[in-house]
Amino acid sequence: MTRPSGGERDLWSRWYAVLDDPSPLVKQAPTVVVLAMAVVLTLTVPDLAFHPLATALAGILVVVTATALAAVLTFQKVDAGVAVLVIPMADILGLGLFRAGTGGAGSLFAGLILLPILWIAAAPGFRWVLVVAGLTAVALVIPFLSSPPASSSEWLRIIITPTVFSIAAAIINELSRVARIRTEEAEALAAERADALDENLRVVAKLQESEARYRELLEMFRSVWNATTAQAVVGTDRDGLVVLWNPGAAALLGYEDIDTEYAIRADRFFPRSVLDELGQGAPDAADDDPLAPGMRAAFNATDSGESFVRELELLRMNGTTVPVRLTVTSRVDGLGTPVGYLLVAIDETRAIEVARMKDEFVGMISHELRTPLSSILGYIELLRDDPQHPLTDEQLQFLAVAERNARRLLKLVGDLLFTAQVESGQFPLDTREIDLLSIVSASVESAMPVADAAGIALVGELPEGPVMLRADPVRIGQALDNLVSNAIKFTPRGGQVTVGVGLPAGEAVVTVRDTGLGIPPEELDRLFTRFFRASTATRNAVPGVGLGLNITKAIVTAHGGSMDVSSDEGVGTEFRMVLPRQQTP
Amino acid sequence: MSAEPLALVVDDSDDQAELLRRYLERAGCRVVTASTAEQALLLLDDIRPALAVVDLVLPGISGVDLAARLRETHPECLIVISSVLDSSRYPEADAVLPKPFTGAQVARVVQQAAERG
Repeated sequence: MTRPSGGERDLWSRWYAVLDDPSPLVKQAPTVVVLAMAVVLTLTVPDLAFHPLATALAGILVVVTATALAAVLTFQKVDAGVAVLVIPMADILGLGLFRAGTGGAGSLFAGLILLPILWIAAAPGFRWVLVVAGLTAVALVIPFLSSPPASSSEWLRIIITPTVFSIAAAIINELSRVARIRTEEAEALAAERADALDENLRVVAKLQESEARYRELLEMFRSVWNATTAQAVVGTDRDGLVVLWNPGAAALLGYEDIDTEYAIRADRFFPRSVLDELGQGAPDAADDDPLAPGMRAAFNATDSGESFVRELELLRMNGTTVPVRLTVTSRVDGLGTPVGYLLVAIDETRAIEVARMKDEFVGMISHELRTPLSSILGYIELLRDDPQHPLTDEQLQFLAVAERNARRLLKLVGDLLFTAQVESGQFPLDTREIDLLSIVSASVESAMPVADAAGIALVGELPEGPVMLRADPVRIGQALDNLVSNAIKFTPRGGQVTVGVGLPAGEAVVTVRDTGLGIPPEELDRLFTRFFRASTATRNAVPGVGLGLNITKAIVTAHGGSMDVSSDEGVGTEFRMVLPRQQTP
Repeated sequence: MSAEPLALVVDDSDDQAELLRRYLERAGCRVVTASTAEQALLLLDDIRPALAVVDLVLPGISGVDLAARLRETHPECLIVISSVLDSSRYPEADAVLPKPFTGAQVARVVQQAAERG
């Protein structure tokens, strides 16, 4: 236990310690002092004299020896126990001898013996009272060893004096016992108080520490809050009343320097049309709900655990709108109870502008590439099919090479344009009721010459009858052509490519299976990524740019279907195109 | 009306206009070409073509507007849209020749016009 300490208090406590917890030497001091005074008195007062001198000297010697023992024990820091009590016991005997040597029963100094008696009597335990009785009796009997008691009053003195001393010792013993108990209780109480004080100090220190940490967090939060100028953050209560907002919100929505707390509702930042759209299909809100139904629908969606992320328009203070990506999340207090909502809006104006520029760029590039390619192909055909100027076989062959390469470029341009359209989420689908089987067989047929040339057996395993579903025949054909031409490209001479159609309930599954190079398993999940090419493709120098599967997947996904692939390296690959189909009753 | 139908070609690319002229002539048409919609509209004051092949991307008045005007002023004319743009962006027309087209496609369109005439 540590207590606050100062120099002055140190000094006091040192004195206090001497008296509170006295060393044997301190306890012995009164006896020595009084004895010294007795010796001096005996030597100076003519009426007093040492008689017999030897006995008095023996008594002094005993007390001096006891004092020496006290010094030793003090030095050794022993200040309790039987060893210490030997000192007053010796004192009693020594003072008894001194009394005997200064006049015996008539000695002036019989009272000296009380000092060591007090010492012993104060020791804990009743047995010390008996010790006092015994020792006192012995000490007081000493003078009578040389001259036995002459009268009955002297006999009584032998009995009464030790008895009185013993009774006094008993009272002191009892009083000191009570005092000791009180002291112990007081000390225990004091220790308890000190502990409590220390505990309080510790708690205060801890509180200060956590307050500092809290302040630090608060400052950190405040700086982050003020630094988020690119995002608009608006916090509301459960009824949409704005309770806080950041500089980004002020900038985005145009409400500069306005005390918005509890003054406006978040639905004010939404144009009517957006609120109507958000509220569509939502159950009717309570009549007394101050919040617009659309806003309430968005909040309810957040409450039910849905993530609310939308691209929509927000209304500025000046009446204009701004396109944003809006996220709504639940706001909770320290106990985790929802207390409102957080609306985070990111300005999409630039992103939309960039997307538009990209679209324009892609459109312009594809126009600029296709126009000359169209001329090349057209004039090649003019040259080839001129009935007035027929060409030689060799010339026709050269023209065929030129045409094939021009067509390859044209397809690449088309694919690039298409993926750009897919990315901007706006490629057109011309869906109608079609027979899937006719598209599949057309695709197989058109690939037949290529398969023949590559020495690959192309097999169609098609079920009976038409398979009707709603789809864009051109796009589905394009997707299938990609799968079939891929299968042929990746299958060595002598292999087989099988195109099949399965009809599980509600679906049509077109499978394209080859006995080709296969795809390493760790590449399967990246297969549909734009410009990704399997290592088996690059290793075997199979031509392509990595757009086909990306396009195929985009087409199938746009039809509400899905793509699936399984492959064994060196054994073959199977692609499955799953399209939704209405059940024929 | 003479035996050979008259075809109007509107395309700002000379190469494409010349290509179309050749194909159309081989298919048995007389051909008038214009490189802008404005020029075509001037010509149309004097001629009544059986078919008009219109490119969509033109300087000035666009192919879409030209086709709409033609539909009003020359209802008997077969309107054919020819463009490198995606077919989804074509306006309503009687026939289409998405670029690159072939001689056979052009011949079919001429056939269509002859049947209509």
